[in-house]
Amino acid sequence: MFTKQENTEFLLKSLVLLTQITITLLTIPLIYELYRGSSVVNIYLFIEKGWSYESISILEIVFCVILLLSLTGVWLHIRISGMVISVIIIAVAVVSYLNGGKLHHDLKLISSIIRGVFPVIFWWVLPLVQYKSYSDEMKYKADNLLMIKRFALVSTSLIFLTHGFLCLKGYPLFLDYLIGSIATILGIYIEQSSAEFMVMTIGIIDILGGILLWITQDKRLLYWLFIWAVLTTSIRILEGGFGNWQEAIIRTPHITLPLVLILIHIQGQYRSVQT
Amino acid sequence: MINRIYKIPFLFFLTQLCLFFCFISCESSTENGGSVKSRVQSDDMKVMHTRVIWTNEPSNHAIISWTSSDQGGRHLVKYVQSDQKPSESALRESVQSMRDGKISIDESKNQLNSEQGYFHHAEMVNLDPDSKYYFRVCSDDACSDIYWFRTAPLSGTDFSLLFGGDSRIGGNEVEYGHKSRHTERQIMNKNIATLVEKDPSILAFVHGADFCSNAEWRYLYWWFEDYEYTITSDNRILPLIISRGNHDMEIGFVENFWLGDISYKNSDGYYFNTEFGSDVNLITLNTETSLTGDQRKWLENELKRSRPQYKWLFVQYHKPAWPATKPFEREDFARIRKHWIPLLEEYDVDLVVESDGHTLKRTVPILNNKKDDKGIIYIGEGGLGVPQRKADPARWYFKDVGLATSAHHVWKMTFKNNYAQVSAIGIDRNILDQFTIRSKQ
Repeated sequence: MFTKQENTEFLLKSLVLLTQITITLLTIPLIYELYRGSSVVNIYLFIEKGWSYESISILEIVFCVILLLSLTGVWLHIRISGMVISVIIIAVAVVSYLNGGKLHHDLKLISSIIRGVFPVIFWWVLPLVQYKSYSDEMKYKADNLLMIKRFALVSTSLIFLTHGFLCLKGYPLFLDYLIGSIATILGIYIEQSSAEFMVMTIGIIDILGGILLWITQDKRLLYWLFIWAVLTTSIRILEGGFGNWQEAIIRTPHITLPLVLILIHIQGQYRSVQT
Repeated sequence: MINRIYKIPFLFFLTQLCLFFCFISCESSTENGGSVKSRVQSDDMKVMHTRVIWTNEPSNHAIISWTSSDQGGRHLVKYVQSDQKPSESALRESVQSMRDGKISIDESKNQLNSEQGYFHHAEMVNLDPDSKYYFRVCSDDACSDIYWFRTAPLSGTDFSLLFGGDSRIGGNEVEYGHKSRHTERQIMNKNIATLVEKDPSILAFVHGADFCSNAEWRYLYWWFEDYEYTITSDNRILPLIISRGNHDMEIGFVENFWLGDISYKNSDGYYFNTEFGSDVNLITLNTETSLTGDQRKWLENELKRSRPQYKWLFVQYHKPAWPATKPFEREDFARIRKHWIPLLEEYDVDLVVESDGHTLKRTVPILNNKKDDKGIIYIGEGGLGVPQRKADPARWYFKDVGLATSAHHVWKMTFKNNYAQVSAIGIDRNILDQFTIRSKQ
């Protein structure tokens, strides 16, 4: 039987591990794309800026090395590593925005930046298991958890709101996810008008979820957001097959952020029981 | 101490935001360039960018689009069917524009010195097939030169078509501002004019989209300027059959490439068929809207209707099912393979033209995801001026008789009795690839 203190420690360690896994999953597709020379950075610099393939390759290798070193740093508990990864992911998101070629790319930029900012959470998470004195421990657990909670709350809300707005705009990709998934499972193509109605409904639910989060962090809402994030992420594999793994795993923060809120919620319960 | 540590991530956010906005604003440096062909003006009013757009039934219907420098009040097309160039007074028929408006400009981004313009679109209907139509566009008292185009025949295949895609600015020789020049695009357009002058049987130019970096006026303006290079020395304008690409999503595209009801049909439309008489049908699809919804249903019905009816059945769309350079497994490409290609194979489409990759390609005949002589050949990938990327000829669908390389190009398709000759013509007007296909009907 674990004591409540041990349970709290376990939850905090889970939070660190969860962050490390998410940052890793977020970084791998980017390293893979940079390594293959198929990232948007390659396209943008070549087409729009007239860089040579050789110069772009050097830049991509440098980015790959920095990302790999930073990723190692995340697992070696080096606090700044998350920030370095964040800078590169956001830079790529901005380049993707500048390159254009995407419908509603303003809204997509927001969700890309939220994903890119996720590794910054490592700055607050790490001290939860790395303290040198009792006063530090108390301070970190109070202040850092509050910061993490605020961060996760804002990010989760924005992700759900941007997705909701995309749904309300009838984003064709979401229609294809829905129609394609049903076609994969049932072998029938539903009418586009039905899919539009469903996507619209989903959009309203997303927006309500994103707004409700500011009013209450009830665990039922958090569980709903978590399950919904799992569904919307996995639909990319269901519709697009395993070849679409990159699109699915770069969305890991969509799942992790509600999970972080759930862990903090549980930790709060333990702490309140302790006190 | 701890409080200060908490501030670090916020400073970090702030720095990133500043960098982001600096980057965006750096995009906006002063630029100028491009071609300026003839401008016909009356006082302050200028008309420019005259073009002919084909959608359905090009044997009797055409959309005439142009830009004026001022709003004006009266916009019309004056025309006449004639074998010889008529005088201005002989243009006795006229049609009013159906759709006019001020072209949207984001002033914060308009650093390419593109003039404010007003779009105008008029529809010419009940035209005679296989006939020369002379026309000029007028906004108030300002009129264009007299141009001409030929309508499609009602039957027979005594004509050729040009195919190409991706005409975003490019080239690294000289830069203006920080943007590359569009030298290659201009050369390719001049090549098109030369091809038409040498072979008057060329009827139309099928554009596989990604006209500019994006569809804002600051780019489209220069695209239209450069497109005037395709006009032949005797003022023949080659009708355009357009598709929509991922860089054509802004409002400028809908404003300047109006296709009547097709522009708005279902989600964002831009999928339709063009019948060249009773023998050739070209289906244009839109890879930038839902692939699985109404468009797929429409495609299935259109294929079912037209395969028994037409000797030649072609399909064009922007993003490739069989990419020559971009990752094969990308979800948008995979979606085309999953939801469209089985239909195209079921109905024995004769040839498919794709763009987007900025390479030159020809696949082996593909059926059920493998090489099969009964399958479909996919050509294209886009080379109308955009810098050409490295192709990956090692992919299975290029091996043996396939081709994947970097070269600006335009495809020419010439119909013979039972076969069609397909040639890729390079920027130096040399033949880069040539093959023949037989009708599957």
